Amino acid sequence: MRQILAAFLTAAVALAPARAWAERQVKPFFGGAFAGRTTFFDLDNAAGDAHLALGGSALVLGELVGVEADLGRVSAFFRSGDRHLVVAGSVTTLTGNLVLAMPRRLTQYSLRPYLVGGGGLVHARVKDSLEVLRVSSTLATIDLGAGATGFLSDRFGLDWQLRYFRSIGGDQRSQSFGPEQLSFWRATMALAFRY
Amino acid sequence: MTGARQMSYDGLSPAVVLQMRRIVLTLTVASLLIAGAPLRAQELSFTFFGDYLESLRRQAGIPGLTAIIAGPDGVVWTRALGNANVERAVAARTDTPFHLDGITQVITAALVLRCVEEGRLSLADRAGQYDPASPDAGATLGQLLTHTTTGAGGRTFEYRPERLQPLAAAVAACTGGSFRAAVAALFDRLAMADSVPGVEAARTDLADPAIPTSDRQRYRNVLDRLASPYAVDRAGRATPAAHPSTALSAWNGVVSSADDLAKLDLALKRGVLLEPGTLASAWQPPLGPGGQPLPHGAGWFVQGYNGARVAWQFGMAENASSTLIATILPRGLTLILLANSDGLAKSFALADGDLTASPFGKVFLATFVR
Repeated sequence: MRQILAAFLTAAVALAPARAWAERQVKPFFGGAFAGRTTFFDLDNAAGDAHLALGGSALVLGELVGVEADLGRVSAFFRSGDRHLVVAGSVTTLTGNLVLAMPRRLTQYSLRPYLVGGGGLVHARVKDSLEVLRVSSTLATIDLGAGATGFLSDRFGLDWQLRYFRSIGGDQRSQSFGPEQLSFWRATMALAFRY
Repeated sequence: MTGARQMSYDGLSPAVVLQMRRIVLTLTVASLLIAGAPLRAQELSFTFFGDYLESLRRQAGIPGLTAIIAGPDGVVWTRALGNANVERAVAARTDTPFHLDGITQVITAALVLRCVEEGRLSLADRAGQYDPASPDAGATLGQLLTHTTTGAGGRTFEYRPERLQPLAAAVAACTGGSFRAAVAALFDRLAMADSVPGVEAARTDLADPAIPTSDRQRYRNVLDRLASPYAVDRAGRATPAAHPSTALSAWNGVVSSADDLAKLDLALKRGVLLEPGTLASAWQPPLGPGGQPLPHGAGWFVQGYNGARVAWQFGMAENASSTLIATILPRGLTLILLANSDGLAKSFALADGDLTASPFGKVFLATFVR
């Protein structure tokens, strides 16, 4: 795992856009997490449901390649509206990613599609009614996705993205059925600020 | 009229009488509420426990699960969840027979300890006396029941149920019949009508001659209702599977229902099968080299939880079935869980001797140990 992260960081530094070519973007987003699967105790059987996702990302993007940091939170990932065994259950992700975008010159006045992928950490937290099957675990994760950004002005635009998160390397502990695993899809819409 | 009322209340004014009535009524209501509160709290505990159980069952990949909680005087709660047979949509019931797997050794322990009470066996007897070919011929019956070995460093624990096999020969020597006949006699004595001493007991060609033909037919009828075993993949898809156990042994092979196991549990608690002192000794774990209690008593795991002692046992056949029985000793409260997949036990290191490794066990203890 450390080797993967080291390789990723090396690649990110090597491929990071030169300052003169780069544009910076900040993208606060909202959307939904869905189709989740987990081996953590999921007492409300809610991981597979759709849940509100909030977060933000920061991006430095050159003509083709960029680097991105993404922070997301699904505050009710383990909660279901019609069940009552989970008092609180959230998933938080923090990832660093490489972005491969369509050349800017080709998409200056239209949507600019991109692919994004990288790795980081995912933290799952569950508090149940009896407080006997609590979960608090941080796992390594990979994320892969694709999206498109369209700027309405020099500074402001909109971004749509679909991204898949999947934990890797979870151990068997006393808060899951088998090795700890978590995965889900996230679809978001973001405001994009460029400067 | 006024005078008559004043006389009837021994001269108290109506206002005082009214006040007294209010106080009496308030006290009565308060008493009823206080008396009823534990009852409602218990009902709430069962409701919560049932909800947890259903949720865990789904995530653990258990197509059918039966659950009973038996108190000191009888069954206090039952629940049957899911299907005993998925393809035919046969709902699980508390009288549905399941493979007991490792819980068979509780029955073996009861039979051995009964023989010890009667002076026909001793826990100090060597296994080789009854089963000379056993690889554990030098171990004592007590060591086999407690899953321990005594070496140069002292007594150590290793959970290996297959070591119990010489106990079947010991029981046979004690009762003068076969081990299967002893198990069958126990079932008959406790009216455990949904229990079978090994699936082969129903076969006419291989069955023990000590088992009457009428019993074999009854066993066949029970096995017709046996919960179908399933292998469940990570996506939760259940596939019919063959149960690996076909023969009765001292540690495996019995088929029974939650209802029947509750009868066995009550017979043990009431001293019908064993004297209370014998059971208390069985639930006293031996000590390890450092003087620390080892995880397993004679037939049951024994551990502490929040100051309460708990005796428990589990069983599992991979991709087929799993079982769990646990008694909170101070309360005499026993949980019986029977499942037709390995979901009750597969993901948890129960053989290490910690019931809280299982979410099912953990929720039971947290709910009912107070």
